[in-house]
Amino acid sequence: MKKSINNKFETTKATARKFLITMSALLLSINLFAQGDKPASADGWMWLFGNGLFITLLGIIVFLIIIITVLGGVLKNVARFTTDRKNKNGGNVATVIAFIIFLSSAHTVSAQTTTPAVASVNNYMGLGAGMFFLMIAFIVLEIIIIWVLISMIQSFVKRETIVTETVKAKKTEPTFIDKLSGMVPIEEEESIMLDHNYDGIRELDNDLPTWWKYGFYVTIVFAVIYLTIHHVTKTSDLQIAQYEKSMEAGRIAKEEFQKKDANNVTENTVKLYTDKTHLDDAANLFKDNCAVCHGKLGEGVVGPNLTDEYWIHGGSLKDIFHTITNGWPDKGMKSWQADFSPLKIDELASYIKSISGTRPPNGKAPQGDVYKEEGTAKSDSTKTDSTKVIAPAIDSTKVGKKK
Amino acid sequence: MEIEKFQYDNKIVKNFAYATILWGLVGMLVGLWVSLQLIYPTLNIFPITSFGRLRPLHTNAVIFAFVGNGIFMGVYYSLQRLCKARMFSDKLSKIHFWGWQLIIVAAALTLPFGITTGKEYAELEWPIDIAIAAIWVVFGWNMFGTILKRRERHLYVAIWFYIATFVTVAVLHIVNSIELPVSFLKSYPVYAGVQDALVQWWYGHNAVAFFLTTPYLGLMYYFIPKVADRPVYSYRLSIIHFWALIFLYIWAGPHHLLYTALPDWAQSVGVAFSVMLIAPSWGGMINGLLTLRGAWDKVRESVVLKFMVVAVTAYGMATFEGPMLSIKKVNSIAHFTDWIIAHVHVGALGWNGFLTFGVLYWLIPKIFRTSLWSTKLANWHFWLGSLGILFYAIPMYWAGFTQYLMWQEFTPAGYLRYPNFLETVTQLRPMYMMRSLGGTMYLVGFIMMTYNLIKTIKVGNLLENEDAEAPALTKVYVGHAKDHWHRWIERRPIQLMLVALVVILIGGLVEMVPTFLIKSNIPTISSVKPYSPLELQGRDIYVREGCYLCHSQMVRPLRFETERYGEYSKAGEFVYDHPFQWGSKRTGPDLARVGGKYPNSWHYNHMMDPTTMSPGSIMPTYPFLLDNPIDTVSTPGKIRAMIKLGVPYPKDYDKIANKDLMAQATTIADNLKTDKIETLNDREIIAVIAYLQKLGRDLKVYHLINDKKP
Repeated sequence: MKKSINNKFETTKATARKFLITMSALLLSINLFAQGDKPASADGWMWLFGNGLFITLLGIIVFLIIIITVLGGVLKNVARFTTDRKNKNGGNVATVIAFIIFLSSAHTVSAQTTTPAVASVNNYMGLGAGMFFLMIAFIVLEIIIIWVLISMIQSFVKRETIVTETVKAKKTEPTFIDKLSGMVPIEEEESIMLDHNYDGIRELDNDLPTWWKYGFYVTIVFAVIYLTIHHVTKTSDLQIAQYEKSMEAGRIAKEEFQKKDANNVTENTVKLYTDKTHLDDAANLFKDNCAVCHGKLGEGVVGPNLTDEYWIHGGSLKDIFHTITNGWPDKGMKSWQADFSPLKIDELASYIKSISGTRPPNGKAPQGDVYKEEGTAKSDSTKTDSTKVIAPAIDSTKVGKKK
Repeated sequence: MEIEKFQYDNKIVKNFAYATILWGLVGMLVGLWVSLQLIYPTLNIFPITSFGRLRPLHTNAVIFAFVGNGIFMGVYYSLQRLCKARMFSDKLSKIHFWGWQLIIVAAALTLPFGITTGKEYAELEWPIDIAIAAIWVVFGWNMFGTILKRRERHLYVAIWFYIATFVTVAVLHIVNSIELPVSFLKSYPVYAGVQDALVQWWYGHNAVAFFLTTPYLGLMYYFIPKVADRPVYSYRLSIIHFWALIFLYIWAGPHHLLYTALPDWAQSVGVAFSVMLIAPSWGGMINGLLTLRGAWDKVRESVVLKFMVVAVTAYGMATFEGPMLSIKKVNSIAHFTDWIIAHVHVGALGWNGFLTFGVLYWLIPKIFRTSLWSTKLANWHFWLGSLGILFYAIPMYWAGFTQYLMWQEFTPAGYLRYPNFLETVTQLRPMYMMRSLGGTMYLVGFIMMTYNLIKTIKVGNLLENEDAEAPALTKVYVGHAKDHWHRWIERRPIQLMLVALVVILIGGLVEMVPTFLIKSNIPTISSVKPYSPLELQGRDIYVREGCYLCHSQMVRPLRFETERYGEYSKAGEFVYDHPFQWGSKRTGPDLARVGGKYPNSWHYNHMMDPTTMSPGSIMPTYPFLLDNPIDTVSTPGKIRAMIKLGVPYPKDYDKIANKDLMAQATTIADNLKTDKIETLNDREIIAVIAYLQKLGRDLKVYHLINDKKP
């Protein structure tokens, strides 16, 4: 039974195959011609892969080829299911092939005659005009082939419907899904049943589902392209190049923002905030980020006491701003500039100035040198005492607990 | 032809079935427990029950005890019937069974005590590794013995998968477990850093492939057509997807190391081959599901088939997701987050769990010559389990996305929106709660099944030896003229094994040999120095406590990572890391650059109780590190082992190592004293601090020396 079906489809399948082979050969030849457009230079043709337009067009071409291949497979399958029309089908396919060959050869000829003249004149995004038009033509050709293939598939499906309707075949009509999966209907499965029996388990010999097979091919093509663009033509960035670009973009965005940002602060423009809004904000930041090392009240835990007049790295607003911004990593103070904006750091520095001299309980022993505020700055900082935010007294004994 | 009479051994199948259920319960209970620890850190309670020690117990129990016994149950049942022969030797079956259970017990008795190699899914120490290899060979011997005395000419596709499983797991286990013993329960892997990472994930990925996938595909090929009473959909498809699957799978390991310090070419190969895996994986799903064509009415009736259909569907989802996760962009989102946890649990709970349940529900009544005690209860199990998977997976996907989005967000001013790592963890608490709920539902379903099967077993009685008969094989085989070419190898089990071996060796060799031999793959960094004896001891404590299960040591070259942690990690930084500790999940922040970031006293307080330094932290407390003395007796042996592995310590350094160790410890203790912390200088906490302060330090030194030059 299987054999007879095979015989019936033999010619159709063969024609379809021939059609596909011709098509591939055709596409290939045009492709070669296209590459010949640029005279062989010292760089060879590798330079093309550096061109964005070329990559895009090539991507489209490859994508369309994949579609053509898939459609070709579907066509082959659809053809299998069509009964008793092989001669006519074969004729049909042949007509189409002839049409395409005519079309493409005409195109090739015209391309041959026109390209050299244009190539030297025009330039499309770094791509010679000859190459550009060839690739566009190629894409158009592919689209035509796709259109033809689709209409062929449609005609097959339609004809089959008519056949089954008129003949009223005893078999149920295979659905389009069945064709796409290359499945033999359940009623006919004895025809593809293999003669083995493993503990009662038998095996059918269904064809590989078409979508599965071409899906597999697509992933293989993906893998080849992926490895090629990363390691052969090196047109796609590897991770370090990607990273450097993203860092540069980030730096530019940051600069742009800071230019526009009126609140941008540097060490030289740092100013003391004494109002409640800013200090409250800073008090919260302090509680969440600084208190673990410096104590909830700034009394010092593993980090130094911030409320006494001793400072390891200087106690002016500018010094504190510098310390928070850049840190003193060797002493255990990290840099906070990735965490807080300069404005926030300014607020924090102001807050630290504001708690100076509060003498909280459990104050840590002095570290560093005495720092005295100069002149008016001194009175400024004492003034802030009146508006000072008093951090809630939280039990800090847990923090310094020792064994 | 002469008909021979023989008997199938059902008793060994029963034993493996019991073990599957028992270890399944244990493994899932531990899993539920560790999931609760992430919500309530106080549940860590004792050192032996802290997260870092229990999580390996969970993964090992589920993979090697639950699924492992499930494999053996299914193989011992199906192989005998597919070969029309009793198992080769009852004695070997018995050794295999008890040997495997002893290995599991040994795992349960070592992992909670911190006896671990620190390599994921290969945590067991060297004596147990040797036992695993020996028992695995017993299994293979028994299997091949059976195959060689078979009364069925050709090997069915299930057996191809069993053979590939046997040979590949043997290769994976042996290559990944090459380690140098330091003492009876401590060893160092011979590979270091990038190479260790490559070998480890070649192993780790293919443990998924050849322990959780191929043997279960074999079970699927036997049990689904058997239960549904339908022919397998496509013989051709099974040939192609089998060979393509085993060939391609082995290459895909590096996709666990994308954006790391692994050489670019190896990463790209991992991506390319992972994507090509979709179709071969789906070939299995298609053949499973389409075998049910024309039998979907049976699926409505049979709870066994319901379990199997969900299992195969989960397999399809997980094996589509896997290749997608291998695409670098997607991977940069999912890696280190709970997305991966969701992914593996769709596979484990859905594919392995549900297929095992299906087989158990079908097989137990069969060998006990009765029917299932309660189909209704089994249906309840099915729905509860399915819901459990959803309740588990969806919150974990959500958690993964949430955490990634928080990690990578910058403010318009160019700063991290969530600079405090902890914020991105506390955010996940509700999702973790949902996950534990899902896990509980799944476990309750499992308990219901256990009850149901016990009741069934009580009603029935075991047919220990099942009578069967078949004609003996003739010496000469007369084939059919139109035999498929693949029939040739189906008659030759040894050749099949050898071809499978060659096929699976190719990928591993292509990736490993250049990474080991070509120097440019791991550019050296002049300032990277071996660990001091104290740091080495601290590192071993880090491994012992399973810190790597929550903390990575791998800053990826991504802007949001380098802004948070510092310079991205370089291959040359890890050349003395036996084993590597890159980690695969960040429940806590990366530690590759933690050295010098905080003062010693910060670490001291943080280890004693993390919440003092990071309020809201879910890290376990480690007060015992403050009390335990450093095991200085082991220092010389460890140094000697490191020298053997090629770490350039001075000659005879092992003799003076402890002197250096105490000197460095005293410095740290003195430093702690300035921060009002009094501690003895020989406590484990000192070693841990020394190790943590070393992380990333060598690279800073490198910049100090080199960047100042004009």
